[in-house]
Amino acid sequence: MTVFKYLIMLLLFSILSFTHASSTNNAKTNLHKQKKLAYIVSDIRIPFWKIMAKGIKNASDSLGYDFEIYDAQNSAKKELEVTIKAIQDNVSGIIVSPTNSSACVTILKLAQNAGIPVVVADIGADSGEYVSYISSNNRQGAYEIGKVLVKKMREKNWQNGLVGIIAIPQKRLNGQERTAGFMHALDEANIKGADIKQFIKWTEEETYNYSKEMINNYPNLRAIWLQTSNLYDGALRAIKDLGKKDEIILIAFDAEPVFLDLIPKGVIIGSGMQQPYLMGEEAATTMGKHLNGQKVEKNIQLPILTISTDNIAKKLPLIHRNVLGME
Amino acid sequence: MKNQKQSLYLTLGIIIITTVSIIMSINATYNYVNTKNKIINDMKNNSRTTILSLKNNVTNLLASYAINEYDKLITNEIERRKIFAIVVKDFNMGKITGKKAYISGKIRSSSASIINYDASNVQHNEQLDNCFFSDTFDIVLGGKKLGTISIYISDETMNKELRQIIIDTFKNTAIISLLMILVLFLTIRSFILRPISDITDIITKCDKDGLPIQSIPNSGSKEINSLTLTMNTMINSIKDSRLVLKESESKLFQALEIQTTIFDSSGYMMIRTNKDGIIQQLNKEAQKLLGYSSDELIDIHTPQILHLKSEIIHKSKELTKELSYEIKPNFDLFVAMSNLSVINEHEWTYVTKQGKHIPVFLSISALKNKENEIYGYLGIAKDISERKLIESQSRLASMGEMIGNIAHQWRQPLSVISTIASGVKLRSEMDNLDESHMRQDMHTIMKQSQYLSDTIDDFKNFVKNTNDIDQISISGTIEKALSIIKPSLKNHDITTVLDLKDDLTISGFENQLIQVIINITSNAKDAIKECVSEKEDKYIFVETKSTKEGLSLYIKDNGGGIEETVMHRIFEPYFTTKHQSIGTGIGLSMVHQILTQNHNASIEVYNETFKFNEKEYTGACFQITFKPD
Repeated sequence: MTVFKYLIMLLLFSILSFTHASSTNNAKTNLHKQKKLAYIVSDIRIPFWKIMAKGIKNASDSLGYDFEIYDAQNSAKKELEVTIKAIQDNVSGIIVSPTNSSACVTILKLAQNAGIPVVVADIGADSGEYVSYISSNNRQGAYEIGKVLVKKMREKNWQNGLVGIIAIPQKRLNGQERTAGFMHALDEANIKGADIKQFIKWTEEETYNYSKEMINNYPNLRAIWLQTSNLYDGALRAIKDLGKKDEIILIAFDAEPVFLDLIPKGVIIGSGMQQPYLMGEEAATTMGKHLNGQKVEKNIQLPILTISTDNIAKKLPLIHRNVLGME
Repeated sequence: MKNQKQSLYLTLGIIIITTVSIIMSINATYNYVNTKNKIINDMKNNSRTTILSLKNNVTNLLASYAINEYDKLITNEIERRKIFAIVVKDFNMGKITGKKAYISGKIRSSSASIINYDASNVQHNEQLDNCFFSDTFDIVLGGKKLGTISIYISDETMNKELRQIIIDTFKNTAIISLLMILVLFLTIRSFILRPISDITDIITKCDKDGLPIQSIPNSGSKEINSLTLTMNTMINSIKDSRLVLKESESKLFQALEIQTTIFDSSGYMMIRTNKDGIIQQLNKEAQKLLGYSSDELIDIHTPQILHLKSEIIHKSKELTKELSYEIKPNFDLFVAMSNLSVINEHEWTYVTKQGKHIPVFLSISALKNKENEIYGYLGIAKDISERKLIESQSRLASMGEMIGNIAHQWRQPLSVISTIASGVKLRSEMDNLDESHMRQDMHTIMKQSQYLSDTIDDFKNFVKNTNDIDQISISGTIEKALSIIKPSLKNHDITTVLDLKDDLTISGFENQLIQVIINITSNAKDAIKECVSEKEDKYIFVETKSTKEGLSLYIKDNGGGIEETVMHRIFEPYFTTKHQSIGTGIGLSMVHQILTQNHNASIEVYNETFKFNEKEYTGACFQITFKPD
C-alpha cells in the first residue's frame, strides 16, 4: 500500500514537472526574439540609406531573417520612438544608421538595456556597446580620389592652382577623414588648398553660393571638391555662371545615377564612391554571424571605389550593384 | 627632605611651549573651521551655479531628444567639478519609453571613475541618499516642464580635502610653533635669562656669611640694570647691617650678661613660669634659699609647691571674697590679680625643701608678648624674715613705750585712788565716815577706775594686730596717738602745740599710724630731753595742712635738729644716734616702712629754724604726705 502510494506521488510529481517544463519552454519561445532584423535609419528617403537597406534586406533574406525598416525621418524624437518600437518588437538584432553619432549612443544604450545586439552601419557612435561598426574607408577613398585630381591638374599643368573644398560637416568623423585623406594627396603633390566650406543647409543653393564665393575669392582656383554627390548641380551652375567651365575642375564623393553620364563626359572628373549596398550586406551578414555565435570584427571598413573618367566604363557593373543598388 | 626647585629654563620652556601650542592650536582650529565653512559654502554655491548653468544647456538638448548630448554635458561637468552625481529625469523621453520619466545621469563609482547612473541600482540610490548636499531644479521650456535635473555633492571629496587641510595645517602649525618657540626661547634667554644667570653666577660666589664677594656688574636691559642696582644696594645694605648686627649682638650679649647677673645676684628670689604656671626658670638666690635645684622644679612643678598650703587656702577665700568670683587654691590664686593687670604684691610664706618657713614679699607680673597676650609670669620674692623680726622688735619696743606711758597715766589715778582710800581708812579709823564724803570719794574712785579702763582699751587697741583696712581720719588718729603719749610728754615738761585744722580720710591701718606718730614724738621727746636744758621751753608742734598732693602732717620739735651727716641714714634699720640704753634703731625704720608700703604715703626729714612766741628755735621736722585714695 505504501509502495503504491509512493508510486502515485512519483507519477504526479513527474506530470507536474513535465507540465512546468513545457510551460517554461513555451514562455521561452514567446520571449525568444523574433527572427527579424530591424534597420533603424535616419532617413530612408536618402538614396544612400535606401541602397544600404536593400543590401541589408538581401543579406537578411539569405540568412532567413525577417527585415523591417524603422525610419526616423531625420528626427531625433522619431529615431528614439522607432528604436523603442524595434525593441518592443523584440527583434533579433538592430542595424542602425543613426541621425548622428551622438544619437546613436542613446540607441545603443536602449538596445543594450533590452539585450538586443546592434551593428552600426556608417555614421558611427560616440560611445556605447555595439557588435560591429561597418563603415567606408573614407580616408583612403578620399586619398585615392585626391590622387585622381592631382593627376588631372598635372595633365593640365595646373599644379600651381588652388583647390577649394565644399565639405560635409567636419564635426562628423567621416567628414574629417575625407578631408584628411584628400589633403594628404594634395600635400604629396604640393598642391595648395584654397578654402573649405561646410554644408549647413544641405541645399543646391548653398552649394552654388559656396562655389561662387570661392571662385570669386580665389582667382587661381582650379578645382572644387564636393564631399557629397547629391548637391553637385549647384557647383556646376556656379562654374558655368562665372564662365569658368574650362578653368575649374569639379570632382565629387559618393554617386548619383547621373554621374554615370557626367563622369565619362568629364563634367565631373571623378568621384570616390562608397558602396552602400555592400555595406548593408556586410552589416546584415555580420549580425547573422554574431547571432549565430560567431566572432566578428569590431570595426569593418569597406573600400571606396575610386571612379574617374578613365575607369568608369570598367567599373560600371560594380557601381551598379554596390553603389547604386541595382540588382 | 630637600626641596627640588625647577630650573627657570625648564619653566620658561614649558610656559612658551604651552602658550604657543595653545595659541597655535586655537588659530589652527579657527582657520580649519573657517576653511571648512568656506569650502561648504563654496561647494554649495558652485553646485548651484553649476546646476543652473547646466540646466540652461540641458534644456534645449532635452527638448531635442539629444540624450547623449546632455549625458556628455553632465559627464563633463562631473569631471570638471567635484560633483558626486547628476541625475536627469527626462519627461519627453519618458513618454517615448512609456514611463513617467527617462532617468539617466552620471555617478562616481567607488574608484572615483564616472559611470552611468542606474535608477534601479539600490547601491546608487543609497549613495545619493547619503549625499552631503543635493539640489533639484525643474527643466522648463516654453512653460512646459521637460524634466528635472538633480545635483548631488558627496562630502567624501570635501572630507579628503579637509583631511589634507588638517595635515597641512598641522604641519604648518608645528613648523611655525617650533620656530616661534625657538625664537621666543632664544630671545628671552638672551635678554632675560642670561643676565639673570650671570647675576646668579656672581651672587653664588659668596663669603662665609653667604654674601656675594663681588658687586654685580651693570648689564642687559633697563629692568635688569635696575635689578642689579637694587641688589647691589641690598647687598651693601646687608653688609652694613651685618656690622651693625655684630655690634648689636655684642651689646645684646652684654645686656644678657647683665640681666643674668641681675637675675642671679639681685638678692631676690626670681621664678619664671609659663602661662600654665609650670616653672621655667629660677635664679640662684631662689635655689639657695629654697633648697631646690633647677632640675627639681623646672618643667615639673608650679610655684604652688613652694607655698604654705594653709596660707593658700586662706588667701584663696580672701581673694574670692574680694573679687566676687571663685579663685581656686591653685596657681590661679597667685596670678589672678596679675591677669587683671592689677599690682600683685603680697606677703607670702615660702616653705623650703627642708620645711623651713620663710616670709617673703612676692611681686608677680604677667609677661606679655607684642600682641599683649600673656605667655608667662615672673615672681620676684624678697625674703622679709629680717623685716618681720624688726617689726616684732619694734612692736615690743612700742609696747615698752606704751607700758611706760600707761605707767605714767596710771600713776596719777592710782595715786588719787590710793589717797582717797587712805582718807577713807583714816576716817574709818577715826570713825568719822561721812556718807556724803564717802559717795563723793566712791564717785572719784569710779571715775579714776574708768580712766584706767580707758587707758587699757587704748593699749589694747594699739597692740591689736589686725590686718583689717579701715577708713581712718588723720586728725583723729593723731589725737588718739597723742592721748597715749601726752602724759609722758607732760611728765617731761614738753608742751604739745596742735594745729589740726585740715584733715583727710584714707584707707589704712589705724594702729600702725598711731605707732608712727608715737615713734616720731618719742624721738622728739628723746631729742628734747638730750639737747634742751631743764630751764628752757620744750615744744613739740603737730600740724596738718592740705596740699595739692593731699594732706601734709608736720611733726617738729625744738630739740636742736639732726646732724646733717647722718640725716640720710635715719630711716635705716638699727641706725640710731641715741644711747644704746634708749635707742634700738628700729623705730624710724618701721615708720618709713609703715608709711611707704602700707599707706602710699611719703616721709622726709629736715632741720628747721623757726620762731614761736617771739623766740627762735631749731629742731627736726618730719613731713609726712598722705595722698587721697
